Amino acid sequence: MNPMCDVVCETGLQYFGKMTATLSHELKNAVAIINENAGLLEDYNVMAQQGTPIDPERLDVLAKRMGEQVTRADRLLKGLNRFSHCVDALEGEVDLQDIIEMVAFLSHRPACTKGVTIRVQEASQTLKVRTTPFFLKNLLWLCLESAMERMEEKHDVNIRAQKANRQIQIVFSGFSGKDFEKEAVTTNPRVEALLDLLGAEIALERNERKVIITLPT
Amino acid sequence: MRVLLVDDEEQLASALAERLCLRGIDTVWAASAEAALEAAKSREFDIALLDVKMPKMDGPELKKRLSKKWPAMKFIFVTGHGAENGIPGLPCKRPECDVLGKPLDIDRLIKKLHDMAGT
Repeated sequence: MNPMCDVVCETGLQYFGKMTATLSHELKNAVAIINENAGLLEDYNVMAQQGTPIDPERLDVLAKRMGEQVTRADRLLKGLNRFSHCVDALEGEVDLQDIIEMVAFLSHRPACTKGVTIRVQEASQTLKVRTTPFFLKNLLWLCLESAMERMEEKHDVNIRAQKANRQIQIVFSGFSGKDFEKEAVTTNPRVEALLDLLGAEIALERNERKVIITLPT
Repeated sequence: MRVLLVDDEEQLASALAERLCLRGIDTVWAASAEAALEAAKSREFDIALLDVKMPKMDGPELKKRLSKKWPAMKFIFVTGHGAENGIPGLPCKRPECDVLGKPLDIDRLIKKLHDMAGT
């Protein structure tokens, strides 16, 4: 560990880097698809000028594909921008549903690579907490990442916020994998450092294969 | 020249394959490593163009398997990584393997393919 940067600082920087790299990779894919379809249009234009008839429906398909990728790129850029702004104010009151949805959005590509689908479930009521939103996102990501590393393919992970016994919690369910019991999530030193910073607690429900994070109220 | 193009972004793979075919390069595309291995089961390709990050099996692992089956096959990794010349841990050494960044410049790609194939 760098003596100038403690474990929270280090994990936060790595999380920020990982997420911005993931989103920018996906943006590059959208741009690359637009590039190839624009190139195909140019190729068709050259062919048309040389007397080869071009099917108008084919042109329509290419135009639609480019429009879809512009929409995709815009969605990614909006997400990247929102994520970047989440460190504007280190502490504040946040809606947990927004936090969970953002974490799911950011984690989409790494989860896909592992064959995992992240499903956000709607909370039964609006749950607001005062916290450090960036590090809460970081904590949720570490839980997901740690679990996904040991999960079987083609699985769904569910995340939801809930209020139970006056406590505000974030619940992960659907974890698979043979060594779920090894508590790799709960004993991860980075998770421990973030829990400490946030004043939160983590628990494992082995039978139901759930990880529950309880936030301070 | 026979090229195997593999990218989980289907629209990218299909459009690029069509552009290569229009330029006289015999190209087969696949949207997953599994489909690529199937395509290469009974047919040898001169060069495989592989996306680095793909679900289930990534580009480096696919390269390893294709090389085992077809030792003379050459490779170009296509990546969304910003530093195309310095991706840590990427098993790629010239002249049998090279790296190009997305979005691709078609003229640069064609030149690279011809250079590698010696055509």
